[in-house]
Amino acid sequence: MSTRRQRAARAREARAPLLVSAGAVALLCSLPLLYVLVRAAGAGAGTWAALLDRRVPGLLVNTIGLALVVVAATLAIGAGLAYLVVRTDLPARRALSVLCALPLAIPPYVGAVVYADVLGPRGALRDALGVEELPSIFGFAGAAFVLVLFTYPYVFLLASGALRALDPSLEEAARGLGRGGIVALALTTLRMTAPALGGGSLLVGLYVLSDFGAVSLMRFDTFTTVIYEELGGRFDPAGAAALSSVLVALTLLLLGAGRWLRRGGGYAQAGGGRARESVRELGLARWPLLAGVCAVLGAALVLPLVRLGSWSVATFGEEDLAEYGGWAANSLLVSTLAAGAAVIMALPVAVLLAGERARAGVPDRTARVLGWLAQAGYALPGVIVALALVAITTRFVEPLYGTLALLVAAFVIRFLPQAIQGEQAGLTLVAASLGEAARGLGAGRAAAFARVVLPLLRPSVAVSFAVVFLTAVKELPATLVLRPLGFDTLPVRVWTEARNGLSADAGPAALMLVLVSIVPLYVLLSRRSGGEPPPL
Amino acid sequence: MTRHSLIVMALLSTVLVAACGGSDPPTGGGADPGKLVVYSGREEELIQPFFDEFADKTGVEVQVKYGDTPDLVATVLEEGDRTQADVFVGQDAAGLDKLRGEGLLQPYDRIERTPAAYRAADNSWTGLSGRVRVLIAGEGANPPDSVFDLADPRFKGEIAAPKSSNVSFRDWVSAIRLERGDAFARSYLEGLERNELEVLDGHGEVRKAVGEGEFDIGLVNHYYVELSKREGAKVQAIYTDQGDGQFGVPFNVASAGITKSAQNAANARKLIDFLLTPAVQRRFAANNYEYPLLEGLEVAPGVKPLDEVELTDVPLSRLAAAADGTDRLLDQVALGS
Repeated sequence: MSTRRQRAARAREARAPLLVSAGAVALLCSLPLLYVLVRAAGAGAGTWAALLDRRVPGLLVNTIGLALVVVAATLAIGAGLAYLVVRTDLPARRALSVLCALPLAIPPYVGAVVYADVLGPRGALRDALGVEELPSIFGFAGAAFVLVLFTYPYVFLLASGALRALDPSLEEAARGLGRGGIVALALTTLRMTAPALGGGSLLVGLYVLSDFGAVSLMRFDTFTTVIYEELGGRFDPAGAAALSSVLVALTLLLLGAGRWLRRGGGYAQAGGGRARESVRELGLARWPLLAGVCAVLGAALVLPLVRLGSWSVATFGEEDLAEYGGWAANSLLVSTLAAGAAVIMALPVAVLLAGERARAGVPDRTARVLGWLAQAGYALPGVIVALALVAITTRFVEPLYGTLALLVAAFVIRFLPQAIQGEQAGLTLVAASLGEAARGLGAGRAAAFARVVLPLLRPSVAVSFAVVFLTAVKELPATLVLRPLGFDTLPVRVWTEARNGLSADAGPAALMLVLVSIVPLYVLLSRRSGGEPPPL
Repeated sequence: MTRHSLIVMALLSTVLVAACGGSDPPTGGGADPGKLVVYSGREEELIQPFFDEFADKTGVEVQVKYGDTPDLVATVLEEGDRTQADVFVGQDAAGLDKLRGEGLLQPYDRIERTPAAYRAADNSWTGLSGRVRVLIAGEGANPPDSVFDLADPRFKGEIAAPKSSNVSFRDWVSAIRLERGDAFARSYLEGLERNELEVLDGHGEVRKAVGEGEFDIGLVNHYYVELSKREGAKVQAIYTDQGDGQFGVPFNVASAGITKSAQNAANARKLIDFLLTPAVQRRFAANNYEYPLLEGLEVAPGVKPLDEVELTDVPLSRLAAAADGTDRLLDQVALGS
């Protein structure tokens, strides 16, 4: 007869491998944190006082304000687009469901270069309008605009994935029980997709904290730009580390907020969803809505591609195509390895966080701490993560230094939270009772996971892979420091060509970067929307 | 079925990561006589042609890691004596001087090629090419004769500068402090701040913004003006404060040094020798519009010869030593914030 104590002991024992693997992942990811704390401790009281007094308050306002505005806007745009393309009879919705995710392929710093050029003081828009001067796009508005355009796909991808996985009969049942359309939507669909929406906006919020290129091109100071400044002129990592530690605190705050958001979604369904299609008829509203979707796509996809294309044409013939092929191959290689490693390494952490939650209401303290450790460094500037790995490998594992493996490790550390958020969002939709039922039928814990939970998780693993890949393929600051000698990626080339402030020279590399991202993204998405399992 | 599949997965991913590093050559390139590793804060466009030529001439394989000078300095500081770099090329002298201060450079013994003013006192780094700090003025701008007039209200909203973390900018402020005193420097910077000096990301952004007419005047190194002109922008270089006894324009250098733990030190010396030959120095001038550091070489057409320029009388070593104090001042004034 199994007593409660024996059951608890068995549960602990079963959790041990999970804890060990999640612990190993958390340890790897907390290396940059460790570095920041050690360095920040080296900042004298004077440095701290000067920073706290003069820099930190303004930066907090700037950074938090930007994050809030961008999160709110991406949530509205991303969730709205997802609902339109998954659940309504919007014209061309299949094609649109792919197109709406594609702006993720355009790095925000490339988008910022394009918009600084088009909307800038001597830009194409001014010439087109024939006016003397446009309102300046630089500052908060420009930074928010660019970040929203190129990060809303995080929300869109997670939200549309969750909507697809969600059985539409729930909303219909609510409507059948006499609830109005909007109320039914709010009561069921919104509530069930809250984890995905929370995960998506968390990704956006964390991205805003970590962005350097777009905000600095838009001339807006956030923690990241000032950390670079500290590190830059001062050659003194202490001040940079001190500011970084504030950034880590902000990240933890955001993660806490994300957990709170996700709490609202403590519902699960008992199947794989998508039993059938349910389409809500829009009537005449479909045309203005379609125009709205096209406006977003025009700004976030068409215009940047056209501008990059025209720059590339301008420099065509000067470039050696074979070289570009090599850089593209490098980018693909390092990003594929990073995305593969990240989705695998995120699993134990996500299972720990989501599985515990389903069983006991909230993850226990150990799970929570491991989850935080694995994600707290997400917003750290890439150069800080890179310097941490330089410091640690040159001292303790020198053979690893200067290898591709170290660069991949840096990418995993930087982007693991994306995979954790994505997989966690998927896991919360899978009822814990399914795994329990499988175990009740005699399957081992691992077998139950592998044969019942994992297949149901495949869509969110695929999305996580795509998101990490797409973020990794445009990574610049850590790549600059850690790349093996002679290993140039496309973002490195964009940076190299744009260093003198010339946009056109960077055109071909930037366009190529967008293309190598768009093609895999397109394949992945069109397979998915065709109803086949994603290619993983 | 294994119940440890999660551990296996985690391990697999680690192995995957480790495996893809296994085939790479070890760091630094060992003591291969045919190799040389350079960290370069100078732009690829400006210096790679010379590395290529050196490689062709000597058969030495030159591997270059490009980056922003501060990032590369930070990298070498973390790497310490395990650095991959044999040679460090900086956009300025301050980065190399920081490495010198940390004892991470070794003396370059044929340093007498460089005039004493353009190298470290202990011969640990040498200048490669020179530049002066000028104003870039756009079409229709009415630039001042003195840089100190920029605090005048008539230039309000019309001045752009690179971030204070830009070392050339910082050294310019150091020169003002050393020549005119801290109180003067502070009130001048506060005047610039009152005039809404716009702080942009770097020199590239500044010269672009002035070339496009967004600002009348920018604070840059002289060769950026020539680069803009070459691209067809209607801008001119203003050498300020040129009268007798006036402030003049500060002079600074791009520089190079050999790391203490260089594994290819002989090739490193060869490379610096090569960069200091008259032929290469002439091409620094002709291609990049810089000032050659060897005596008696000509500058590019359009660039004012050094003997016609009134230079600020502050040696490079004093600029490097003043950096910390200037940072504190810039922190307090908080330009552009």
